[in-house]
Amino acid sequence: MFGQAPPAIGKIADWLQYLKAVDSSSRAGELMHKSLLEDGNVCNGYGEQARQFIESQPATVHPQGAQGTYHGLLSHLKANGCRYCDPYNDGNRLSAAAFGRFARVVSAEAFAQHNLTPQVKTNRRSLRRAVGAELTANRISAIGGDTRRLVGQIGSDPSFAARSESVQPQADGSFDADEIRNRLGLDDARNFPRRTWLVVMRYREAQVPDGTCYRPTVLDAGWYPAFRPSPPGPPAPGWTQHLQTGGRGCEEVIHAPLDANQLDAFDLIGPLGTDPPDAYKAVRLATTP
Amino acid sequence: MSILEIVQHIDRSTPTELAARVAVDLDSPSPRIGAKGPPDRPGPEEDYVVAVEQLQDEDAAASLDKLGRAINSLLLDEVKAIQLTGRMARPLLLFNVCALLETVALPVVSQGLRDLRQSAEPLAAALREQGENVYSRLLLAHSVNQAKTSDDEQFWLGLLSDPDPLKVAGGVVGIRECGFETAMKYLPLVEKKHWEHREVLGEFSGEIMLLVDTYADRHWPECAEPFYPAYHESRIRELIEDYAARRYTPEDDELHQVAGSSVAAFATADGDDQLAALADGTPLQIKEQVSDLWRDNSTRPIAERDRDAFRLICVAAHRWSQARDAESRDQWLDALCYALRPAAQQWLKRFDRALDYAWQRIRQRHLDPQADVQALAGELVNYCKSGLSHRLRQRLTQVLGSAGSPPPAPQVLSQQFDSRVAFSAVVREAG
Repeated sequence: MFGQAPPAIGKIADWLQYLKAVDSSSRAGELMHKSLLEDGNVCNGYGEQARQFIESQPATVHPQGAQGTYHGLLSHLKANGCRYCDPYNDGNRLSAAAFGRFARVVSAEAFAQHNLTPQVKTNRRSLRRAVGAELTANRISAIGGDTRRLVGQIGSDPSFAARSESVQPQADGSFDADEIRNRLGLDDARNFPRRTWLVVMRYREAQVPDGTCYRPTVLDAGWYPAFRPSPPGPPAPGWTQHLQTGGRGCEEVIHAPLDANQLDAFDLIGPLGTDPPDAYKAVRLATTP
Repeated sequence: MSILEIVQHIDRSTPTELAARVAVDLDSPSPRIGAKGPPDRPGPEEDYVVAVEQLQDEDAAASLDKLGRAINSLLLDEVKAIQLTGRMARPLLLFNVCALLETVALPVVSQGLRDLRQSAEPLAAALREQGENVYSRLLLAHSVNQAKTSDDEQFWLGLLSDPDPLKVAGGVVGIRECGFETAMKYLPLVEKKHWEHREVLGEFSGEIMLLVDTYADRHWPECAEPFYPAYHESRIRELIEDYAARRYTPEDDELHQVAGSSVAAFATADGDDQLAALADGTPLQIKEQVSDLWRDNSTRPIAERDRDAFRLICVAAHRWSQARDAESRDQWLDALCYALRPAAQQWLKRFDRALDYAWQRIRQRHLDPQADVQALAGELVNYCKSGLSHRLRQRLTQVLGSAGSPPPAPQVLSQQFDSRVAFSAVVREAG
């Protein structure tokens, strides 16, 4: 991300070392550290702003502080207009038409909270009461697949998405939800644990705002250790990291969110039979760019 | 911090230390801020949500009380900051605390939330440039953590009369969460507000879903009957009855087991033993047993009933596959369908989204569901795959897969099924 090797001493070096130690049990800090160093798709201007921001911060003295600085950095960049859709990021810009049909996968609970009824009147407790997962699935099924009845948007800004063909059913027509989660690199035991349901949202390039999508960078992923930077080069989709194998999962892009009632269709799949695997971590940390 | 570390910290810290820890953990950006759709990552409050749910499961009242006091002190700090400066001191912290409190109920915190609810303007302004309204979030959190006093009720009713639709939305949630009686009493008013602010509140049918699911332990739709006379010309009754009829209703034993008692029963069921034990039955006897099984379904434990239903299906499928002459095959196929239908109705009622999904797939493949029993059997297997245990899936795949070995051509099956009670009828009814 820094466009060149970070300095061996100084604030940035200290910060990176503390960042590496964040949440050592899950190795989250190590993974984030590696991604920050390796991502060559962050444009130089943003990399320089990141340097300046970290240099301007008080010296880091513990891992939590380093993580806090990273959150601060993301807020700072956002406040200064450094966004994926900025002209400076043209090196990651793609035509949505080249990507074809899109699929975005979210947890059924999040879908129920944001897309079934207006968010302003849906507290999450109502989704978790009783047997939350089944009630949620039931509530989603109650609208009968009618996308026109959906509210809100398909995600936050930016929204990650894969090709629709990466989230297809198997030969017998059923979905292997666990494999889909793993292929998409959805490593979040809080959003995607076993027994939860997933919603696959499907839409076409015509629905993508401005017909434009982008290769994601580490800055777009936020604090997300399962993100793996794509090889630098001409604009091309990024790649997810398969949670089970640590290899490439499928192509992914980011784009501005669209209204959920514009979706072509959505599938409810699951429930997940396993918690997210973390086999990818060892593979990732052992891999040189 | 991991969830275990959070729980340990709650147990071992003083409320002051705990408040400081919560402030460090939750005073950070969240993917939820400004999100108008499902974010790709959870917010920083998520680990605390899990930790609180864990403590609630363990009935750790003292720990929950301590956490409630710690969070309440943070809320009161914010009240003081607003009184002094007119602005919020830590909007990110309050946003994430509200995200926590809209998900779980904690003791004590209603006090701080009640004080903060008077600060609509500073809260609404705090994260406005990020597309977020912290006051709306506060109302969601307060709805879950309210004392349900007449004062609270009046506050929510006041919001319902506000010209700002976002405050009306807060009033709708507050009234819904203010207790079953209160929610039902003011339902016509809530319906009226939906007409007035539909662009923000959405369809009223969505509110009925939320209401019914909020009071999931009630017997719907019967529990609503005393209120119907006051609803006059409203569609409330129709909407409640419609959703209650389609809604998955967990039974007591399902609520108290992690994976559901039926799944557990299936996991331990050994069909082979039962097949051997019932090998001498006739198709008619199987059908009689099926009838008896479902006739007394109001008294039998659901797990036991499902297990027996599954075994009868296995027996019928097994005997169908073993039948040597056409007449016998025909009779056993009839028995198999007879066993499948009520079981499928019950199972699909509990997992009806799977049925919807199966039905969509059948339509997408342009199959005639009445004609293709193999496809329908496959859908049942798929349904089981998504809703029940791996063991059951394997077993059904085995018995249904071998039932027509070699599988009869769809046309033959179509003729055999022509005038029978086909599994497809179940699909069609629910679809």
